[in-house]
Amino acid sequence: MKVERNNKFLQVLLTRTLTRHPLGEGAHGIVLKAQNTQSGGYVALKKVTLKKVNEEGIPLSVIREIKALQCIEHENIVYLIDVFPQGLSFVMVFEFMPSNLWEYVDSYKLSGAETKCLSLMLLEGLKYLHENHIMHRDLKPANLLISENRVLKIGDFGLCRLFFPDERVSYSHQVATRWYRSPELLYGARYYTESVDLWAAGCIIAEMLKGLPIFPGENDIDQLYKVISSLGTPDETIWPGRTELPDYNKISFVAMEAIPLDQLVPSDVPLATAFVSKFLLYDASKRISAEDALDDIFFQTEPLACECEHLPPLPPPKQMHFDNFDSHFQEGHHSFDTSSRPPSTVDSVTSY
Amino acid sequence: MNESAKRAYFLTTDEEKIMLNYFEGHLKDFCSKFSPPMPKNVVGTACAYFKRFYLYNSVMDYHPKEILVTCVYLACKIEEFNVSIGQFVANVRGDREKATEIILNNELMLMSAMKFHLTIHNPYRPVEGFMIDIKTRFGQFDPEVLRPLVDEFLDKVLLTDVPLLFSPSQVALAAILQAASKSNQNLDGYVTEILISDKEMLQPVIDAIRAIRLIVRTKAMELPPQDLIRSLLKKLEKCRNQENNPENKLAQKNFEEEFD
Repeated sequence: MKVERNNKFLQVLLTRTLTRHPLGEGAHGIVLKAQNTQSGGYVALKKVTLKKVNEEGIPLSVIREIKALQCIEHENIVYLIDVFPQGLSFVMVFEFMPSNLWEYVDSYKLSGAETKCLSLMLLEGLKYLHENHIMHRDLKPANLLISENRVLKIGDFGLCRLFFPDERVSYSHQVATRWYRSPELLYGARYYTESVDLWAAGCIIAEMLKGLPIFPGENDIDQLYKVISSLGTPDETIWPGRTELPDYNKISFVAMEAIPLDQLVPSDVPLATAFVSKFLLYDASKRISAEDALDDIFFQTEPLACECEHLPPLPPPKQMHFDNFDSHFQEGHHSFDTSSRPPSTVDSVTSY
Repeated sequence: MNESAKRAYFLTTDEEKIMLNYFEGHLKDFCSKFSPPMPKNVVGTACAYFKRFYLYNSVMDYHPKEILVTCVYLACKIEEFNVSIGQFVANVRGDREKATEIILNNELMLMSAMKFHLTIHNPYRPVEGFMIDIKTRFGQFDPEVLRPLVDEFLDKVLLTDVPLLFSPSQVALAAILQAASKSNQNLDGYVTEILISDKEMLQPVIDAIRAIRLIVRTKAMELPPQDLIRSLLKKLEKCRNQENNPENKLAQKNFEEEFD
């Protein structure tokens, strides 16, 4: 296996004259910022290390991510520029995105107009994905990347999956980051639809309005408790079929009344709670689609969405920066302040 | 080594072609006997990888029997036909541990040889599209009767260069038209009046379909004789690039040095 030296991005990796710092750590490798020595432009490199690979070879999640990203192109979805191998690893080259929605929610109290602007971009990207039969399965503020021009783009397709509307196909329920995981996933559903993304979208929009995550469960059981104690105990009319879910009988809570949504998501933006309530439904088939959500009266009501140029400036990055690239590898492990960070995605999807 | 000695020692271009043809048949066989049963898409994708790989690489550098299994394994992942490596190599004859090692060692190399363009558009979906279209817009007979012949044609396509030369929808249409003419059904009206009414657009499509049918008729018939295959396989064992031979200690050593 010879390294292809004619690849212009690879030269970026090999030259020592760059500033590089880790942007974060994904399930299968690290993400680095790099500069193209020819154009001067910045890119994000997602390096997938295959050295310690499991016995199954190249992880399916990586293959799915490449495959999905190569066939989609949308303003609100992060662009995969190139892929190339490097020794026993390989590198995915993405457009560089300096911030993400998690940093925005953490740094600012977003106004109604700003929330609408960001929500519209999220829903446009999601509509495009669902039209192309791709479910993302891991939407969360940290995966909604924000560009220099403050355009929101959906990123991290490591858990995405093609879905087949006419066929009954079983999927892994070990997907999505806990706080944004839909009730059917929490009960271990193996047959679900793209509406798991709409639950997550509802949680994210509510989080922008509230300034805090709405269901910050500490573990899977607490997660279910937080949802049920907020939305009330579901019955057969609200959520038909719930008793057949694999984990339904493994846990039960005392019957609880729903908390009115305007207490859960206090907001002075007109119609905001009504809008959010269309996503946060137990019955997945009743959740509003991304397409219908874009046409919702919420977006036609004052205050209207602002232009993305009028979003607040990019917040200063929260993560540690390393000027010395090698130190990152030598230390092997470095500590981020994890206390305030949302839980990360479950390892990898190996069951089907 | 003079010219004729070289020819005697190395595989010639024609001999490489014969080898590839033989191993493509092997690949199809492997897939059709695979347990659990393998969807057609996986077979089509694996075949496409195999063909594309040897457009740029020599049989003498990479032994087809090793690339073949790697192509199928990668195709399983891409087409979401989820089998574990253990399940996969249970279908391989001989040393399964060695097979596992070969597949996992070659997987990334194969992906990069495909330039990471892993999605293959097979003709099977367009066939479904044409079926629906014929039923709804043409409706003079039930196209479902054509299915066995369509499948047979697409099976033969896998052994030819057609997937490299023509678009999947053209291949699908050729399969349906071939099946129709074999079962004495007439779809001319569907093609010329319903599908493509613009005369200028029509001619190139007709030419493509004629070419596809011709290739499939002539090429799919020639299976190389067994004794020729045997002698070529022997020749290949001698002239293959020893650096890529997993049996070879030297290759192993280089590999470790490069990455440790």
